[in-house]
Amino acid sequence: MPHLDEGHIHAMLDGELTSTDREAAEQHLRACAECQQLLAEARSLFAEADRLVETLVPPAAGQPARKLSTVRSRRKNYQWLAWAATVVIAVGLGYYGSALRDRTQVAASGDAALKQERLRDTAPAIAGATPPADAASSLEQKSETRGAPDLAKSAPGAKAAEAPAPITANKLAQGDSSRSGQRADALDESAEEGQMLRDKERNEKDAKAQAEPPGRLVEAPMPKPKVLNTEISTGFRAISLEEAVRVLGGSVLLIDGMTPQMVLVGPGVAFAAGNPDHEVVRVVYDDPPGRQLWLDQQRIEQGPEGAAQAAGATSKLNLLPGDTLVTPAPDGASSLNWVSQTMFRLGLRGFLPTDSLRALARRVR
Amino acid sequence: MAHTLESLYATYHESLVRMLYRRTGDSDRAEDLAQEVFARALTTPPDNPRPWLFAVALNLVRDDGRRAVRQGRRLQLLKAESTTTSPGPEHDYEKEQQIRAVRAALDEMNERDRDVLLLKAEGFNYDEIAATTGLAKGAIGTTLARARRRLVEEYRKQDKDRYAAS
Repeated sequence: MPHLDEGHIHAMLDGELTSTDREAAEQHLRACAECQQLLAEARSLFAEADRLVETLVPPAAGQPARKLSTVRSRRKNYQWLAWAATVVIAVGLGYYGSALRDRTQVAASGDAALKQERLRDTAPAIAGATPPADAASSLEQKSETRGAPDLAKSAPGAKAAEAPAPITANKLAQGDSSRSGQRADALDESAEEGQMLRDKERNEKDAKAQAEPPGRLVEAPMPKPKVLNTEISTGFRAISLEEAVRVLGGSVLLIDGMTPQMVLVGPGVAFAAGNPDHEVVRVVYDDPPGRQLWLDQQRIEQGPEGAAQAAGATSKLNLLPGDTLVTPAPDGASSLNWVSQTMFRLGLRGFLPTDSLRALARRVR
Repeated sequence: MAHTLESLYATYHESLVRMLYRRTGDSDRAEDLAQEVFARALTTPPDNPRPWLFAVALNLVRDDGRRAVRQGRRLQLLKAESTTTSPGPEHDYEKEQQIRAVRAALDEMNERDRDVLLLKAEGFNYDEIAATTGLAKGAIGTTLARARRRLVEEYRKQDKDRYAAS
């Protein structure tokens, strides 16, 4: 028998030879070292080629049903996410809409005294104090005009835990500025740190809510916000807006459409764009995800000293009116510092993208 | 009709998709081509289903490949998409490199050798390979021997180039 060719050997390894051909091939192989060598090589190639082809396995081979179910579950997830996004957007729009109406009402009144009074009341109200009893009637009116009657009509002693917008209305609608001022003064004496103050006030408010007589309106507990770098908060104390106005020697700048949660005053060194020799007023907001947003501000003095300040001589950052500087912070927050044409040194700091901070800066007035 | 579409699908779908994936390197495309094969089986019920299904599949791959050559840019886009959206089991870097080398080796083979090799990997006997490819049964052993040798040699070459490059 002649030597076996490679195709013959592979056919034998594939089991494709007839029994007669196979017996003849095996008989030849027993006597032919050269063909034995060919057979060994063919075996090696055979195994190696099979191994290589087997490495190519489709991702979902043999599991079409599982693939289908995976697709379905992804679609469910997207539907769920779409629902969640819709709810978040709706709540966010409602919240902003309510706050915007508050600001619009204040601006439309044209009464500067009323505006200051309301702003003065904001800090203690946001700190969690229970509204005074004589404000209940105005609260009900405000709630009704803003299409949120649930809070005003809530059951006796019930907490309005799921109505952040009406609570905002409460804060601005409280009319007794003298009581609020006294309360703010008392708070100043009891705590230096703003966060500690908020916690204490929250506890007090919860205790008061338990003891509220039937018919009294009770504020819901404030959600604990994400706090910016606490080291920078050191040396700050909560003040009323009235006191903030005194510190700044004029009006306090606020973000239009947002409701201040707290007003603090602290050393100027904590304000990168500020004059370290003067105190800085910090208005604390909660951004939509519930994280803190600071609006730091100092008024530039008029006169020779003010001219030097305006030129940036006394500031760590040499900013001139119209200049803007964005700096990232190690804690993941971003700061936007600028000097307004109205001679304010301003800084916005929060866990927001730079574009969002710039958009908010345009609403500071 | 001796075979219902359902039984054909249950019997051959997995094997057909695997062969098409090895042939094209794109699991989505393999799945689409397999769907097209079964759609054609619905309109033209085959007597000898396995060779018929795989012959249609290989013809579709060839037609698809010609279209892709004409639309080179589109092919690039599809390939880019498939690598990003279908990572499959190729998470491990070494394994991914091995798969790339095997695929490159397959691409270096001529079409007939590659088809015969992939059909054999799906358990086809020489008669079925001959019926599917149109080759003479007596030529299958030689073709397979050449295909196996070429695959291994090309793979070793790719592997050598890979380590030389790194």
